[in-house]
Amino acid sequence: MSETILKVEGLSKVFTSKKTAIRAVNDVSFTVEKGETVGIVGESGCGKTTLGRCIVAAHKATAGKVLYRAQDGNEYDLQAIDKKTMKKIRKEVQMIFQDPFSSLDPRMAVYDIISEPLKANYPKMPRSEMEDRVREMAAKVGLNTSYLKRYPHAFSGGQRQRIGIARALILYPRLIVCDEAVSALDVSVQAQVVNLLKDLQQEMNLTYLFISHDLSVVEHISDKVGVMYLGQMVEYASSSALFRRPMHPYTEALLSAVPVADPEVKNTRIPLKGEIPNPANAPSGCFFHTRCRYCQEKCEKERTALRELEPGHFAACHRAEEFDLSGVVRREEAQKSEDGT
Amino acid sequence: MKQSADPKAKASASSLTEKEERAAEKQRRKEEKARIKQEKYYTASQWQLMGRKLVKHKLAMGSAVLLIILYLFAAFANFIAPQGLEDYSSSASNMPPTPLHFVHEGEFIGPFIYRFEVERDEMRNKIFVEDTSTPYRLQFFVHGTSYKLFGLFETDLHLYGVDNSQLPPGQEPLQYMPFGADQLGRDLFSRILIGSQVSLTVPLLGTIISFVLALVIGGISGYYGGWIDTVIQRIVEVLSSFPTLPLWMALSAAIPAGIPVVQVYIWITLIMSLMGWTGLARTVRSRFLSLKKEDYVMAARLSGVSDMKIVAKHLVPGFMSYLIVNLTLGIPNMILGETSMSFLGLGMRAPATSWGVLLQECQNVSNIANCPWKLIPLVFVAVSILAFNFLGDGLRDAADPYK
Repeated sequence: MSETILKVEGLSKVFTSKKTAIRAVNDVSFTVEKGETVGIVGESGCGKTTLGRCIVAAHKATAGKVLYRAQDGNEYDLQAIDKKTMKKIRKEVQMIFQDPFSSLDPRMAVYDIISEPLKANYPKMPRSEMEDRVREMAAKVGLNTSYLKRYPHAFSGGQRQRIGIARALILYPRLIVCDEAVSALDVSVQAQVVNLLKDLQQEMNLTYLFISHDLSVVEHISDKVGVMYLGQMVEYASSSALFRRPMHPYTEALLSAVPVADPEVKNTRIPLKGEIPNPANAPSGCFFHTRCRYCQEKCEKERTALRELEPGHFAACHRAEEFDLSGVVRREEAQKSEDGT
Repeated sequence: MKQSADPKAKASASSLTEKEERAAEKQRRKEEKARIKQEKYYTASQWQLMGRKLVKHKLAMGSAVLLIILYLFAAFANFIAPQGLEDYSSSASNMPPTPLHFVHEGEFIGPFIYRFEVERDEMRNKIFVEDTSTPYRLQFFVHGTSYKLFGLFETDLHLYGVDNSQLPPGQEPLQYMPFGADQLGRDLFSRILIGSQVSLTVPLLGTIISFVLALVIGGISGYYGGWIDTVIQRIVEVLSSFPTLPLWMALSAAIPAGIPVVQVYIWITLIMSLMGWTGLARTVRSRFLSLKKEDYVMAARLSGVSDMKIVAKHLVPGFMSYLIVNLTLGIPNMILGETSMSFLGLGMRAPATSWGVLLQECQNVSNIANCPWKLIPLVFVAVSILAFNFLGDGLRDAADPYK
């Protein structure tokens, strides 16, 4: 049943200026199966967005491959294909943006915004067909089709994000990178949009790469989750496994910060010391060692790499086998069992 | 009894419901109107929003009307002006503004003027005294010097003037000069109007040329970036750090002597625009750079829109409003530039005229002291500059309806 649609291999992106080189994405590898949702989480500045943009080939990666299995069954490296093939693949890989205000051109009517990808990719499509398709897509994302003549300034954030989603879906893509797609919205609207995305996934057989800093949203929508820190993927596992029993101390600290909706639960937050290190001048050894409470001598010297500790559960920690970390689900369960007794 | 009461009750009841219905209908219509108005706002494009905001800016609208009037005057200058470019009258040399009268010997006879007699005071200075014996009526549509309207239609009709064909032979023709005369006895009002044809159009044409230059050069600079950008920016810096006055002198020295007026005009326009594009080019470049990073541009790129289309559909419309503001605010500089060039004798030369040429006579202090009306062209310069500035201010406030 599962078919690998995306395989990222050793992807790195270094932004260089005259004096410094910032490793925004550092040797990241993972695979995405068709039809699933992969969440990418991490603090701001950890390289999530850069990773997403490298995958849709908006950035040229410094090293590594983004292998995408297209509709025709062939595998293409999105980082190294010619323009002509790219034009074909463009229809299949699309992106939803974070800011619904800057991602829509204020000078274009909604109809023009949604139909723009069609015009660019099917220049010969007759007007009536294009109109039908735009209407169909607008209805699908829950936009009143009589609003198509309006300009973006007439819409609220949630409605704008729906327009952005319609634009991304109009070409019937297969893989969608959602870059903080709901972060700029109110919580109530967030839920609507997340549910819309889930419905559309079922209906159109979509694969999502869901980039977000919001752990609860990611837990809700994702099948698998990748945790990033300083440009590295430090843990990659199925959503349930990761939230139940994380294997990297950074993930544990992140999860401990998720608020639990129960006033009885004691605050078990694990505070992280200090600031996130400057990616231009990353620490030696394990990148996380400066802030890790389990740090040992080995961690300061030796680099870490993702290791498969359990089937499908990867983590990049030297001491992962040694400790038993607790995630959100576990904490809640522990609380429940305590209440029971 | 019952039967007779029933229809009455029915009628009153039906009239009541009718009334209610009418009120409801009214309410519905009102709501519908409000909805249409709201929908109109929602479907308003950038330019429509901008126009709405601009219309609310009273000062800018006033300035726009004033500018339209000034340009209409320039377009019909030869028709409105009673004198042609080459007319003069030695007896009217340095004549003060002619007073306009309406009542002659206790009788209202409409607008008329008296003839000025030249006399000498005890210091042997020339003074003009009105000879109140005969009134000369001002008339509309009189025949005078022939000219070509818009360079096309040969005619000698002027908007107003004294009908000199009615004068007894041997008498010198008479002229109503609301702004007085210059040293050669030429009507200053006529010359201001004819001069405005140069002073108001050189800035406009110059701005259009520098606009095109700025769009192309700034666009290349912002679009390609890298070393091309660096080279262009350094050239801009060098050009804009030249002191303007010596540069004008050098450039106008390059204008060949003795060429026709039209060519001088083109030369001046070119000089003005060659100096004016630098600031605009920078605006274009910086807007290009900032818009290039907008998410919607990336979205267009990701959906396969070609680069040229992105420039044409997203980038250029994105900064057009800013450019128009900058253009409007740049015109006053050009007006000042042309006026100063001509004032210094570097631009238009007699017999052609412009506001700067007219002000040349004011280089002499005693001239200003004796004939202060010669400063009137200055008022026109100031008013047109202020009008453009106010209009530019209004446009700037309206420019970005999304912020």
